[in-house]
Amino acid sequence: MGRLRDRLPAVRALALVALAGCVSITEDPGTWEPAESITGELAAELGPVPSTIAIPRRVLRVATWNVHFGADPEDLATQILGSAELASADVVMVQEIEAYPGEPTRTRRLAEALGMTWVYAPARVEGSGTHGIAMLSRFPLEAAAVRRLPYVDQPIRARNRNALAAEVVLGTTRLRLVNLHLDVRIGPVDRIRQLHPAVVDLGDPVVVGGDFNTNPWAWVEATVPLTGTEAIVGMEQAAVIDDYLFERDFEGAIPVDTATLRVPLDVRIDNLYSRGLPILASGVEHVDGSDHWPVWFDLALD
Amino acid sequence: MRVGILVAVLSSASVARADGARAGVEVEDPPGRHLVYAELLGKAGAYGVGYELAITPRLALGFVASYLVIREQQLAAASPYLHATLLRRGKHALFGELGAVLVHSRIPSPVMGWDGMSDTGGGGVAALGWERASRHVVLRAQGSVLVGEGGGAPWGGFAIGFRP
Repeated sequence: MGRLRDRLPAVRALALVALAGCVSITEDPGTWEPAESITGELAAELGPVPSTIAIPRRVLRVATWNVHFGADPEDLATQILGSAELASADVVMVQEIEAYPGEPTRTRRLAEALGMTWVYAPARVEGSGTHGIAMLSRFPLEAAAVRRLPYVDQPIRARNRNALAAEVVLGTTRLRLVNLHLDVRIGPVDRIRQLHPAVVDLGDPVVVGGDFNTNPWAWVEATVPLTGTEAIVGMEQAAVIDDYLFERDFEGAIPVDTATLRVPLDVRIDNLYSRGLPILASGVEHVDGSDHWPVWFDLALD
Repeated sequence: MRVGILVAVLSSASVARADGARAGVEVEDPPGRHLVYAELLGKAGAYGVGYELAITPRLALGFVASYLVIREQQLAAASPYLHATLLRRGKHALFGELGAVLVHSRIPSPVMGWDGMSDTGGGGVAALGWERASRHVVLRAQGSVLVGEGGGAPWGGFAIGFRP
């Protein structure tokens, strides 16, 4: 009886969690902060202006790749340079890349191996280092800014997420790019809520890309995916994100049923979107080096 | 008229019991034809409330439905199905089910400048499961495959039911 009495607070807490739900999301936590103004362990790293600035062509190739921690940046560079489509990328958005003290950041190592400049924006501290997203470019990057995305408090792996914006300078033209990485086990409403602050106040032309983590399912308490329900109704989160961005006049690189994740499901969780510049070509490159495949597209600059 | 029918039913039941008593044989009532149940996971998604009507000792027609709001996404599901007892030994049985599933999903917009989305899809379900039944209480566990507009997916569920 005494043991039962001891356990009552825990039982009450469990019951409250079951009744009230244990997933919540913060409101929009802020605004775009200039990257160079962020200090402390989440300070951004900005690379130098490229020593040889490429001459802008009529077409800009942009790629996005979740590099799954990027433990071997030189191998990632080999994968990129070994791919006919990726080797000619002018800008590469990178997600899930880490940095540890006492060594050059993995972003820097990757960028230098590709002959590009970079911006690295940590989203959170991970062990003794940081984990975040990055932008690499053959052209100068300016006006880099970081925005914290709404935090989803959830039972499994609740994590800080961010978006990174920068202007790529193409001679006299400037193109705004936004790179982001959203949460995994959240439903479509929270995914829109988390994405919205990163895209709501952007001018034209603009590119939005990254790992949207658009798994197909609704999630019960961010824990149980309703796979059977999705199989019947067929309304994947990738289609929801497309609908939201298309309504904001964006154009997407690849269709909903294009796999970008190395699993036996046709799940599109990475994508690129453009507004103000037409997409000429696009694709997914099946290279090694990560559990994701890179997505790329070509934009007409005139 | 209804009172007459009720009297006739009651009297026939009492005659049957009296016949059993006279013969010295203990007669157990057959299980009722009606089953109401609640399931966790299963054909209707995260949960379901269902009803089954036995049409023969081995076959029953059923219907289960649910309505759920998950982080503002509204999901309504309904499934009519055929339940078949494949093997029975005492209180335990192996069963199969075949049915249709209809799901309506509505995603309201949490932001300005987007209207949200809604969609309705249909498909089928095939299930194989185990049942333990007493006179009034039925417990079931099942594995299933759902196939519809979004492809196919493995699924499963548990149910507890009551036969009046």
